[in-house]
Amino acid sequence: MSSTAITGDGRAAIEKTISVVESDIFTSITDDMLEGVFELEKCTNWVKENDFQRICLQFPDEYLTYSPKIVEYLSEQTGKRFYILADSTYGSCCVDEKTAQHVPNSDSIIHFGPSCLTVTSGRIPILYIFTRPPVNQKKLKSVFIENISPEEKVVILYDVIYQYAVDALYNEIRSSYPLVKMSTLIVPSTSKDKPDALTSAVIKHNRIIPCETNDELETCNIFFVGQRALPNLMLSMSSNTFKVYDPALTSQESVSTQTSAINKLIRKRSFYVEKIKDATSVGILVGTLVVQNYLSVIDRLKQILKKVGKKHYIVSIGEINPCKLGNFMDIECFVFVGCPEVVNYYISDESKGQFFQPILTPYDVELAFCEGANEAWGQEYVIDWSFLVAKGEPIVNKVEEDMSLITGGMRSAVINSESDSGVINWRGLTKQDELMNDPKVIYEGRSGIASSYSDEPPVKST
Amino acid sequence: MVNFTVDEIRGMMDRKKNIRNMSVIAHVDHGKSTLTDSLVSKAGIIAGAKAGETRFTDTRADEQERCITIKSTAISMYFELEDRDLVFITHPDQRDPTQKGFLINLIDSPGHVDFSSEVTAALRVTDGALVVVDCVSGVCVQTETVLRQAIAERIKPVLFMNKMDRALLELQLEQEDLFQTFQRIVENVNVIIATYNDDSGPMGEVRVDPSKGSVGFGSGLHGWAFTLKQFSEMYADKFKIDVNKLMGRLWGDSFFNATTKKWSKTKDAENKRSFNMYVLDPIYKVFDAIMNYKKETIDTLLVKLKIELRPDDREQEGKKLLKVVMRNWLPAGETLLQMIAIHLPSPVTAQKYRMEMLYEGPLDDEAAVGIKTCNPQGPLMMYISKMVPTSDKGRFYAFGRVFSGIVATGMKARIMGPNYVPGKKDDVAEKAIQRTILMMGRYVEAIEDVPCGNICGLVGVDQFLVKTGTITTFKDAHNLKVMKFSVSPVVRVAVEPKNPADLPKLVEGLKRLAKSDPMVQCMIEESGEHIVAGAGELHLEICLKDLEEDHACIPIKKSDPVVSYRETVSEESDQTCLSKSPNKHNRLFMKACPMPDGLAEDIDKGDVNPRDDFKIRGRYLADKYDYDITEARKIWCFGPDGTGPNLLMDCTKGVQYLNEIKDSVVAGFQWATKEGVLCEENLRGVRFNIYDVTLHADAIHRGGGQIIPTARRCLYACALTAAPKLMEPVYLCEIQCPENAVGGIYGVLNRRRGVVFEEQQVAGTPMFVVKAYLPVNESFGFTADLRSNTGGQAFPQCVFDHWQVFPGDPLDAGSRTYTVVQDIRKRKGMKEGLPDLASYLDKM
Repeated sequence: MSSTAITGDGRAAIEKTISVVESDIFTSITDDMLEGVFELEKCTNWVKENDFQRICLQFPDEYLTYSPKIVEYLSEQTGKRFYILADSTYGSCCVDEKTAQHVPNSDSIIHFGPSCLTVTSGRIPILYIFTRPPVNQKKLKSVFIENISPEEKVVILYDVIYQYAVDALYNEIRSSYPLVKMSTLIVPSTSKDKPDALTSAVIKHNRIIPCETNDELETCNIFFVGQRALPNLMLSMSSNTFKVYDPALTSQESVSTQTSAINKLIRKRSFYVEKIKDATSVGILVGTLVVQNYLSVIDRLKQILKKVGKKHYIVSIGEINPCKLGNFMDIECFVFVGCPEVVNYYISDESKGQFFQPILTPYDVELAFCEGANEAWGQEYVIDWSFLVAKGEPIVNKVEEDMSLITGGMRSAVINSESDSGVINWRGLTKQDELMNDPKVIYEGRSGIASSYSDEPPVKST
Repeated sequence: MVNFTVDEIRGMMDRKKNIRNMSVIAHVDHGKSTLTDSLVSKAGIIAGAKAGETRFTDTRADEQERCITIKSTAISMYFELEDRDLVFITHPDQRDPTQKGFLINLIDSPGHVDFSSEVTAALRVTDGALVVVDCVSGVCVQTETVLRQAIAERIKPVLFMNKMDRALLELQLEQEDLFQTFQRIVENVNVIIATYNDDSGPMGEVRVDPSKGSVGFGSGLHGWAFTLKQFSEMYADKFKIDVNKLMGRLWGDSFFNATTKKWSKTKDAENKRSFNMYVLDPIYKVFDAIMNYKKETIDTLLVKLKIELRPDDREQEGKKLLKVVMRNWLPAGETLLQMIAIHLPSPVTAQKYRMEMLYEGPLDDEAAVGIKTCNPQGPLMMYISKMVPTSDKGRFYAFGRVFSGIVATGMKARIMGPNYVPGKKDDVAEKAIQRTILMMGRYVEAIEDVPCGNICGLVGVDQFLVKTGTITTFKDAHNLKVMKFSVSPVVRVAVEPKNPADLPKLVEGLKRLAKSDPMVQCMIEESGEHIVAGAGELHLEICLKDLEEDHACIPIKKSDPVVSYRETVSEESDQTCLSKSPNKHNRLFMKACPMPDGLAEDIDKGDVNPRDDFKIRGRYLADKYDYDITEARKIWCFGPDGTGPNLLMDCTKGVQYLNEIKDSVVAGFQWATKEGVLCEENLRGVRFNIYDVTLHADAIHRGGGQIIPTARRCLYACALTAAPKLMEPVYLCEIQCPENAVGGIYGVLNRRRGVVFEEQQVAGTPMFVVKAYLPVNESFGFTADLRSNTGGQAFPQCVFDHWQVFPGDPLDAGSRTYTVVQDIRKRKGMKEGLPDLASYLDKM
């Protein structure tokens, strides 16, 4: 998840950059590799074919360094104007249509790097370049051969950026491994020719897995290349064993075997489900402006919260960080509506302890208040909220007096939501405490600016 | 057993002066339930059709299996005093002159410390207590605990010395030794009473005195008992002395010379102690004759004592005959019921002095007056002290006492939880009471209404209350005070369903469990752990069994028991800690230091609390703890949860905009004290001082988002630089055993970091009492370990006593504390290792 979008202070951002530098497959790209890695020829052709005039290029942070050279190359080849979208509003995995709109008359976006493949609103044509970071193909193959036996039923899944590498691997081994199934990606812009033909396939997180049924999938092991998409895939395939190899960790010699921690996650979510039941005011955090159906989900959340008598506010503050959210002290918890990969960050341990208020997912809200929703609770946790829209009008459980397992007290069921919904009270200065104090002698205070007052030694530049 | 119709019982409820609400309290295994049985068989009320079935107090199968009481059970009894006994009741509030019959509501409570919360709940709804003491083991730790609680609740005690049969048969005590034992127990009990009660207080003198008849003697198991009143009545005609006067002569240093017929206050060669001569001697003779099979002596004795036996009883021999004879001579039920009726207060008497202890509101409002006068015409005031499971799963009867007014089926009432604040809308519901019921053992009977002074159950209230609450019809009523427990839930286990799909059922089950027990705490933690916390291992064991079998009805996995720790500091911070806000425009300068000894406990007890007037509190802190008076007046808040034993003090001088960030700093403080820096345990006994604050001049740059995380970071830095320590809960552990087992006890305690601080022989017995402090964390399996090391002769009672600093430095990777901290961090899914000071502390 885009680290800079979330960190609270500068330090975390610095640490994150360091970890990117370590995996040199992103930084070791030399100038003559650019054309291959960023599939610049494909870009040129796409622009030429469609005759776009003003094209926006969206890069994740780790690729920003290469952006000038890429623009240079593309301009030379096509003679069109290119703009670099440097600061993604939400996660860098999502196409940032909003920022693109800041470019006057922009007519297309090329999205480089990892993508969450979320279906967008389709306001603007988009080309996805997953990029082809240099991967040690030999090692990938040897890791595969060492860890997978030819008799094993295996499905290969991967991060989008390793698509080409895994394709190559599959071509090499398909003859000797007849039981291996290769998944394919559903890329949103090419979605016109999508899955109707493939009726007998399972779709997980925009990946087509050539298994007849879910039951068949459950008997397979998963060979996963990469890291990003892993948490969400593991959530939706809780009964499979994952053998994970991440080419970005150059020191990794073999696969790490992981199984889903979904039970633990669900137990954790039960805390938040209790928490939102306790809350009297809830903020709906808008974490995307592109993901399909986000407006309908927000509407649905509003309906649910209104029916259960909670005050709710819609909060749209661009990238989310603890400072921004901390300013909404009257809001007791937030529901985040955003792309699944970003959502995953908020429910993972990484974000723990950073935010003052808990952050929930639309599914948590569903579990807390909607009829029948928690029948499936315990078996699955749904991060991709798009299915909720299909459920139609939310049916809310009858609100009864209930005790809270967090405070140990009763929570009153009926909150008068009509009168004061949407009004945030502001309290002015309290004077009482000051009255207690005796008059003080006036003395001269500090002068200067807060980053370095005049009575302090000057800040050393590092 | 007496049979009444519900209407007859309802009739008795109106004669409030003839009601006695009482609980039976004692140390574990001192024989409460057995004694209660003899009362119930004498006078228990069974309504109409239920007659014939017995076993009233044993409501749970596991209670019978384990031979201990787990839940307190209420039973009602009816008893008529004879005219000659009625004269003993002199106070007009204690008896309706036209009535001989008494309605006695008795609550049998558990004796094991782990279930003391049940005792607390029982005491709240009763006015008197029958304190049972095993005359062989004497006054034990739990006797003291429950007695202390009773006095604090203004419950009047009477004493019963149980297990006299053991003293005579097993220990073969001499008469004088037995007298001394009795006298010592009476003294011990009176010492405890005197410590916690003021004789000049509103309850008056509550000391127990055998010569007044407020001390009973006997054997619950054999079903016989007496007070000096019984014996005085036997001898009154012979001596031609008034019964009352004679009772005084039969106790203490009062000696009678049989030849000169003279009474004396001192012992000499000729005279004998009257208690031994007139009370113990006949009993000893009966015992001696029967146990030694002296047939002729038995016959003469029976005639002398005017005991008539049924022919088939006459055939018995030995112990069986002894029981029959004693039971006929000195029936326990009769004696105890007389004691209860004569010496324990009626609701009319008791509520006069209990009102101010019960009611939170002004002592002259309608509700207060209603309680004080026990007025059925007053507004309804009822306290719900516990929830009793119904046969309908997940539903509960709300059990409690009506203190004022009348509670009736179908009436609309305000149901107020413990967090209700008058005038606010939180924690209150206005609902109709579905049904009023009588609770008699495990039977319930619907009843139209119940007037004040009585104990009853309500249907349909359970869903609005967690455990306890106040029911009223008075709009402006305040709450009846919440109960204070003598034990705390310090032992915790995490539970999870064996089948993950059962999670919703577990959550529901936890909620039901929380209701069903006055003490247990059920909660979900952020780490996803579902926690059940109880007073001790046994308590938890019972709770988990109930959870699995009755409340959740699913198979459950449970973790090993763990204790909750506290984080604290041991020194003042070695530097003034500075943290900058994320935008670098605001700075907080703070320090942490430990609180003086005793202050944290004062806050726990509520002697120092956030609701006090700041001037009074400031004065108290300055006087008792040498706090600077101006600083002590500027306490920003208590924490965690706004009431905990940590303080945030404003020690700044003339900082602009300071009040604007107060809410944010307080929020950060609550956060940091709830989840400490070492391992996210609560903080305890830490005082944080804010020395200086620099703020951005523009309000938008010093909002909550900037200040809350900064305050938290700064507080963490303060704690880390103030030599942080971990605290663990410690039990006070009392172990009774014979002398030869004492060595084994020491061995076990040493292995478990226990420290013995008292070892004493119970005078007149071969038993020893060892008192020790034992860390709760080391107490798991302690009972079993102790038994196996002492051949089953030692039996411990552990009750939470205090928090103690865990030895060692948690920041030193080699120490044991470090390991403990790391274990907690691992359990909570935190990063292993130590928190890094640099991430909380900023440089100028």
